[in-house]
Amino acid sequence: MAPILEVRNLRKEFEGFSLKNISFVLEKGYIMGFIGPNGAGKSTTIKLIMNLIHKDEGEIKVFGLDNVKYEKEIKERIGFVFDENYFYDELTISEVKRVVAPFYRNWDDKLFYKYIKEFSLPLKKKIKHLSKGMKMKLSLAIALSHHAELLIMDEPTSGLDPIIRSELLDILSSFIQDENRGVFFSTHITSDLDKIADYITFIHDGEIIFSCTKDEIFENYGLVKGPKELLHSNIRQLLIGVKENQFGFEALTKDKQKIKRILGDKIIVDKPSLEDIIVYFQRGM
Amino acid sequence: MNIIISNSSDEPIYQQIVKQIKNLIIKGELAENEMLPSIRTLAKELQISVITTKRAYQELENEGYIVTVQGKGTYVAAQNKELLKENQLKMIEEKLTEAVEAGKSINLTLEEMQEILKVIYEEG
Amino acid sequence: MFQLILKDILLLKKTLLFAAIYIIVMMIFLKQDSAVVFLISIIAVNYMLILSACAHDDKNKADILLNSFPLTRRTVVMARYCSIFVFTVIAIAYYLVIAYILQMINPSVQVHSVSLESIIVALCAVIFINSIYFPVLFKVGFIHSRLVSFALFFGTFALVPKFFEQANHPFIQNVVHYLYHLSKVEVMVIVIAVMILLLTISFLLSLQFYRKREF
Repeated sequence: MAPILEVRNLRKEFEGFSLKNISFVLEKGYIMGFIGPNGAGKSTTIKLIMNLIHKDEGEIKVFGLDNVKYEKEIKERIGFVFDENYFYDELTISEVKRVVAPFYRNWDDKLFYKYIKEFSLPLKKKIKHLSKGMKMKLSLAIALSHHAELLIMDEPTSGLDPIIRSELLDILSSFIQDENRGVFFSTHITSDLDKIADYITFIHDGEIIFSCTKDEIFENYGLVKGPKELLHSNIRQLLIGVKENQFGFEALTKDKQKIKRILGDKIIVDKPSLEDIIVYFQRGM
Repeated sequence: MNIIISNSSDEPIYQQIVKQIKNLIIKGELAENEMLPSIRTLAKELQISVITTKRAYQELENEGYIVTVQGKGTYVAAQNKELLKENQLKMIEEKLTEAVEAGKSINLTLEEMQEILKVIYEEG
Repeated sequence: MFQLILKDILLLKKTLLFAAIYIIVMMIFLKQDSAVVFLISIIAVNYMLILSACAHDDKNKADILLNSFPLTRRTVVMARYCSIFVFTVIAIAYYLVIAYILQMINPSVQVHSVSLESIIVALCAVIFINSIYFPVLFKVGFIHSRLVSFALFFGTFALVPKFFEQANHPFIQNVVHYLYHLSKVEVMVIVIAVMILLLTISFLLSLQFYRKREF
C-alpha cells in the first residue's frame, strides 16, 4: 500500500536559502507534525507539495501519485489549511461555499452544513469579520466536506487560543479514526499538537534532522543536567547545544541510555519537550 | 474501564497503558472475551498518538493478555487460570518487594516487618 | 471556470455599482460624439472591472489559494480571458439599460444608438488592451503590472479620438477603401480572425508565464 505522502531527496535552491535533500514518509492513518524554527523551510516544503513552487530535484508522491503529473486528482483529495490564506476577505461564508463547492467532485453539502453548525460558523458573515479560530474552522469545514483524505496544514495553530487549539485536537483525532486518512501539519508551536502526532519530522535550516515516531524521540532523547567537570570531549560528542552556567551544564542527548551508562547517577536525565529539542538543536548549530 | 495517563511521568505512555490494562485483566475488571476499544478510539479518547496505543496493544498481545481478530476487534484473551494466578503472585511479590525495601531503608528487622504484615492481614 | 468568474462578480459588487454611475455621468456630461462616449464607457468599465478583480485576487493572495484547489493553472488563466467577454457584456448591457432609462426621463438627452459595428469596435478595443496586459500580469503579478495596464488604458483613451480625427490619413483611407470593397460578412470574418489570433497568442503566452510562476 502506497504511503499517503512521500517526499524523496527534494531540493530547492533560492537565493540565500535552500532545501537540501528533504526526505520523509507519512503512512496512511497517521498524523505527522512538521516542526522547526521560523525560516527553516516548513512553508517552502508545503508549497512544493502543493506544487505552488517548482522543485529543482527529487520526488513528491501523494497517495502514491506524482504531485505534478496528477496535480488535479491529488488536490481533489487534499484538504488544506493555510496560515494566512482564508479565501476572499470580502465574501461571506455562504458565498465562499458557492464558489468553492463546485471545484470538488466529492463535495457534500449536507456535511458542510453539519460542520458549519458544529463549529458555530455564521453563514452571512464576511470572512474578514471572522476570528482567526473561525477562519481555521471554516478551512477545516471545507476540507472535511469534500471528503479529503489528506489534510495539509501550514501553521494551523499560530495565533489561536488554547481552547480552539484543543478543539482542533479533537477534530483531528476524529478525522484520523478512518485509517485511510492522514494529517500533515507544520508548526513552530509544539506544545499541544505534539500530543496526538504519531510522527515528528524536524527540519532545521533546510535539512531534515530527524523524521521518526514521537515515541522513538522520547525514548532516545534526553535532557542531561550535571556538573561542568564531566564535560570531556568524549562526553561532549554525545551532547547537543551544551549550555553552561555557574553551577553546571544542560544539554540534549540523542542517546540517553548510553549517557546514563557512562555517567550513571552523576547526572540527571529529564524528559525533553519537542520545544526543548528545537531549542537545543538551534543552539548547537 | 478506566485508563489514566500521565504525560509528565518518566514511564513511557505505552507502558502505562500496558500496565493498567494488565491490572484490569488480572483483577477481573476486564472479563474474558470482553472487547477492548480500538487503537484509534483509545488514542482519540486519551489524546495520544495512535502509534503509542498500537504498541501497547502489541505488547499485551505478545504477552498473551489480549487477542486481535482481524477485521473484528481486540478481545481479552481466554486466560489460563494458572498463568493468571502466577501473574497475580508476581504482582504481590513486586508490591512486597517495594514494602521490604521501604522497611530496610529505615532498618526494620524481618520480625518487625512480619508483625506489620500480620496486623494488616488480620485487620482486613 | 464559471465559478472563478462568479467569484469575480461576487467580489465586484461595489465596482459594478460604481461602473453604472460612471456611465450615467459620461452620458450626461460628455454630450459630444456619442459613438465615442459609448466606446469610452465600454473600455472604461471593462478596465475598471478587470483591474479591481485582479486587485482583489492580489490582496487575497489568490494565486496560492486558487492553485491549492483542484484547478489547473490553465483554468485560472482561461477564466481571466473569459472575464473580458463577461465584463464587456455587462458594460454593454449597462449602457443600453441606462440609455433607455435616461431617454425615458428626459428625451432631450442624445444617446448613441448602439449598432453591431460599434459593439465590435468596442470588443476589439478591450481584446486589444487585455491581450497585451494579461501576459504581463501573469508574468510579473498584479503589483508590478499596474503601470502597464494604466499606460494601456490611457493610451487607448488618447488614441481613440485621435483615430477618429485621423480618419482621412492615407493609410486608414487605404484600409477603409480595401474593406469597403469587401462584403460586411467578409470584414467581420477578417476582424474576428485577427482578434482570435491575438487572443490565442496572448493566452498561450500568459499560460506559459503563469505555469512558471512560483507563489
